[in-house]
Amino acid sequence: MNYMKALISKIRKLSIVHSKLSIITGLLLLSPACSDYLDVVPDSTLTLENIFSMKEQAYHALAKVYSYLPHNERAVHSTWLLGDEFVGFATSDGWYIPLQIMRGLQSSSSPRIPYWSGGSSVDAYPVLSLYKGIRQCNIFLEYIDGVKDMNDIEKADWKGQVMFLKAYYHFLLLTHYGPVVISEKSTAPDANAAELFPKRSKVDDCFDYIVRTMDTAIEGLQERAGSSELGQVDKIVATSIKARVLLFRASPFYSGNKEFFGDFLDFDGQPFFPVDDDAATTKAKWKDAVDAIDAAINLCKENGKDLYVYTKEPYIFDREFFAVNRDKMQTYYDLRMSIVDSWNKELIWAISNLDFNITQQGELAHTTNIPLPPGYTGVTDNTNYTLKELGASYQMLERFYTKNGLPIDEDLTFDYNSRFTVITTPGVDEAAFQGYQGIMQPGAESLNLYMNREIRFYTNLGSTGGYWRSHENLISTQFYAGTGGGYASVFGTKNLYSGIGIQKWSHPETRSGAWERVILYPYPVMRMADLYLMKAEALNEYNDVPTQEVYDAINVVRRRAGIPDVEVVWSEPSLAKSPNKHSTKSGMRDIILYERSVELAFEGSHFWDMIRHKRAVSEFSKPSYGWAYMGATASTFFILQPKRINKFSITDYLWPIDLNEINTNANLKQNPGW
Amino acid sequence: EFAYGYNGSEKFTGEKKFGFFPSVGGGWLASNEAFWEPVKDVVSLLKLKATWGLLGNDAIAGREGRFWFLSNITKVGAGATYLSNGYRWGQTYSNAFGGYSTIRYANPDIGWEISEKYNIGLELGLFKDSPLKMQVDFFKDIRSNIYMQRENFPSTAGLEALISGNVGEVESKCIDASLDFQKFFNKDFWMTGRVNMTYAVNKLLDLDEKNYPDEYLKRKGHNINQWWALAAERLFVDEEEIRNSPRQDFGAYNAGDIKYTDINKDGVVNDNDRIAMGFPTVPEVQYGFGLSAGYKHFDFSFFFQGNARVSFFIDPKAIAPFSGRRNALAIIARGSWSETNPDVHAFWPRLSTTTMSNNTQQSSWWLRDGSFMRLKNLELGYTFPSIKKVGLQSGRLYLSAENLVTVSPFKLWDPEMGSNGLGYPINKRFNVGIQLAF
Repeated sequence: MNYMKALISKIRKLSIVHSKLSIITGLLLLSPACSDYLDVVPDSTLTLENIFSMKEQAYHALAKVYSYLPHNERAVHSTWLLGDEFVGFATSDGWYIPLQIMRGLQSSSSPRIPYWSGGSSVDAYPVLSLYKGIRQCNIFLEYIDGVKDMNDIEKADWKGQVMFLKAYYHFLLLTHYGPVVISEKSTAPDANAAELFPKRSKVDDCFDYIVRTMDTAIEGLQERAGSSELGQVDKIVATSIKARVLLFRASPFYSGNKEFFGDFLDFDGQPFFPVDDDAATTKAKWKDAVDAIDAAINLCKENGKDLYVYTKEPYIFDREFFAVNRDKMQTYYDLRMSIVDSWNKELIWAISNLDFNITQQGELAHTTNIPLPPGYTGVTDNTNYTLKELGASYQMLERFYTKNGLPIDEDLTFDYNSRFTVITTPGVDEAAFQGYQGIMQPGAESLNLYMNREIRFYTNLGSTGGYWRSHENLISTQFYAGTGGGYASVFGTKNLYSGIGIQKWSHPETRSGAWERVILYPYPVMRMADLYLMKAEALNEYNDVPTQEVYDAINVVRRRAGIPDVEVVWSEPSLAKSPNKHSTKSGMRDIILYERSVELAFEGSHFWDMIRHKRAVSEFSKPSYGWAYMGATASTFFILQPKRINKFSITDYLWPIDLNEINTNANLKQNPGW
Repeated sequence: EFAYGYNGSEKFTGEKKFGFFPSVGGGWLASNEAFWEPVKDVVSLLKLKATWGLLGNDAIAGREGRFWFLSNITKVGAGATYLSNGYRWGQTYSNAFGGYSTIRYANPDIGWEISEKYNIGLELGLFKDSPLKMQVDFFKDIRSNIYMQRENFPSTAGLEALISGNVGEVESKCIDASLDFQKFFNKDFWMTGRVNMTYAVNKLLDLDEKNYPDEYLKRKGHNINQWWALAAERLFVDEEEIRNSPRQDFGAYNAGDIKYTDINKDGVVNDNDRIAMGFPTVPEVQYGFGLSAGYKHFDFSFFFQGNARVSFFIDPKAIAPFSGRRNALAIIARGSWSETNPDVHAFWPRLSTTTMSNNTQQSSWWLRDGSFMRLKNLELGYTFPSIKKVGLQSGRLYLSAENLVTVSPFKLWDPEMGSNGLGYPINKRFNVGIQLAF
């Protein structure tokens, strides 16, 4: 680098000084200085043309485009924490921004999780403006043809990936903000006002643009990413996400929602949302969704994707349980490992930009795991990388089904009214313990509420009288203060405020102390179970009455969970309190949404389901409850307490656009209520 | 006197590379003219001066800004443990690329910052040998083409770096006056005194600011150190009042928290309800005056300094009780809102163990007049006569005090400490000393 030539300046000075009076004289003698001196530029200046010259360099540009995918695996900004599923510790709750939104603290002056304009951060990863991501997509598409050592097929694949991401970023903006500004090409810093200050497009135009762009992307994409490319977008990913886009488009929040958005008009007096969609239009949208979901499921199956089944040897500590409780333990493993067994066949698309940083410990895998209690083999009482800061709300204890696959207040065999009765689980030799081996501890204190539940209850949650599989150990948990998983004052804010753990994100082999001991796995953005349940939902909405095809789609997921088929339990008057609920369209809608809230618990699905179906305010304006976590005995622990006062209002359905942005672009209409 | 500079800078490109910066100045010592002789005993000195000049500045940014007309793109390595500009793929997440980062966009239009300076001055000496001198200067400086951030880019453009340009223009005016007095009345009695005062104002004439929907939000036309803050009305009486008032956008709030005015009446109190209030953060008026006198072996001096037309905001976060196990200031202990003391004009809103961001917003609730006058120094001395006998050149015993008295409308703490009253205060100091010279 040649930085040696310093500032050159030519100054001529001319002074005429009189003894008493100085007067102005002088000619303007402009001496043209030799400007060659000044034509100095650093010779290592990197340009976009350099980056898009060879594949190895262009890979950086591709990575750059991907880098804007939201880090939902990092808990502090994870939109997966929105809703009523998670509870943060009392004094560190404020650290988890999505929980603040649920408290009703969203704001236009300092927006939380501001995907539109980006923002400062409490984490190493700031929330990035998705419009920056879209700009990078546009730059990539404008320059990629200049790369010399890539063939047309490779280029078409990369273009397809970037085009998909461009559409996907628009989709994420749309889900948060409703109508968005479509950014088709990059805006130059010296662009004119018309280019710089665009209007928001109508919601249907946004959807059309997203779907159209995804369709174009799919044409160029390779069918299936190779093992070194896992995490990149291939045809399977794009087709599946497109199905999700069409599901959103048809959902009641977006189609014909006069109730919410009848008077949400742009400056041209036209409604942003397709509020005038009639039944036929909405039905056609559901049809598009059904077709897209079918196409996605078919493509996935052709490529060997399906629901996860555990086929390896069980862990040593579980072999005895397998011997005596084979079916339930197999189901347990199928469910318990379906997320944490990395890159398994159920996974369609996932966040793979994981953090290898020694000091960063903000992933869901770190924040939800409990430290190894004393008395076990391993690093005990160490909260590094097993933070125990996020737990489940009491609502989640109720939400999972009974062993019959019915909600606890719908199952006639489940004594709902005595659910808070403290019990001792049966002894290991008692007949009543059959089926509980490996699921609940024998002779342990618990509640009726924790008994007779479906396997997903035990694999998702950390339960009193149950087990927690992590640290290469089978940990018996009670969650009372001073016991495994329970409160300990030495951990300060690293305690479960609700006394209820979330086990789903903890790999059984993950240990405490350092990042190298955490088993990495990709965080799912889309998996097969979601597609099947999307199919059930779209088909149910499209049909006038539920058909066997709807039941079949949901049953795929239920069978893997080890619960009876939906039409079987719901038509049984000795089991279901409201029998035949499944035979009406609206009853089946509730059942499908319920199934989604259970199967996809803690994965950022329930919140958006409630948004899509306009149920978010009623669902999320109740407190999130938990146990009295500092209690050391059943009588002091099992006391229900409100842990977070949720105040989700109708205004919160759409995120506020940053006030700075509204002040900058006068063509932008702010969302209602902000 | 005339000078000019034709300056070129490698920091700029094309036509912007060179700038022409002339200056002229003149002075007239009127009291040296022959016709002045008759009044010389009364007005011993009169000097008038005036200058005008253009000054170019290419040091518009730090060292890293040497080639600001060029774009700056940096590739990021994949070695980092977390990739904020890049991504990891693959079975083992090892197919990793660090991406690149755009630090600056090319801007060939940037050029010299220009400062146009005027100065008119008057020097006056009164009486024989000028024991009383007066000096008055008037300065005006119009800085234009100031290189500053352009704020009017929307997020939707997706620009990765902020855009700056030669878009600012600031006019500064200043009057600087001083009065000096020095006289030896006889061999035993002397006296000197000095009074000075500076009054400085400035105004943003131009900048690239946002298209604010309301005039009161615009910074143009205001002092560069002007505050914008919310207009606090009082504390909320109860939940009922909260329900019937515009929603406030700054976190949770209850009865006993600060209620703000919805200036633009859009139903929400947010950052667009901040109005210019108070004086600038930098005092517009600064002054000082003092006197020294000696009589025989005694000497005495004092010096006052002060400023006026300045405002500051109490930083409620810095003095909040309980946070960080802090104790409460007496005024908070006595004057805070509570269920039993529902005083909606209490000094302190509802007490809380955590920061209540609704109450810590910059607002008229915390705005205070920062002007003060201080007796900076007071000294009394006695010089020992006939000390040479004991082998010393001189000897002096003195008593002095610093910061003895401060007069200010703000009583809670020393106003010079600014927003945080719990910082290290300005000391009152008393000294007793002996100066000896050998």
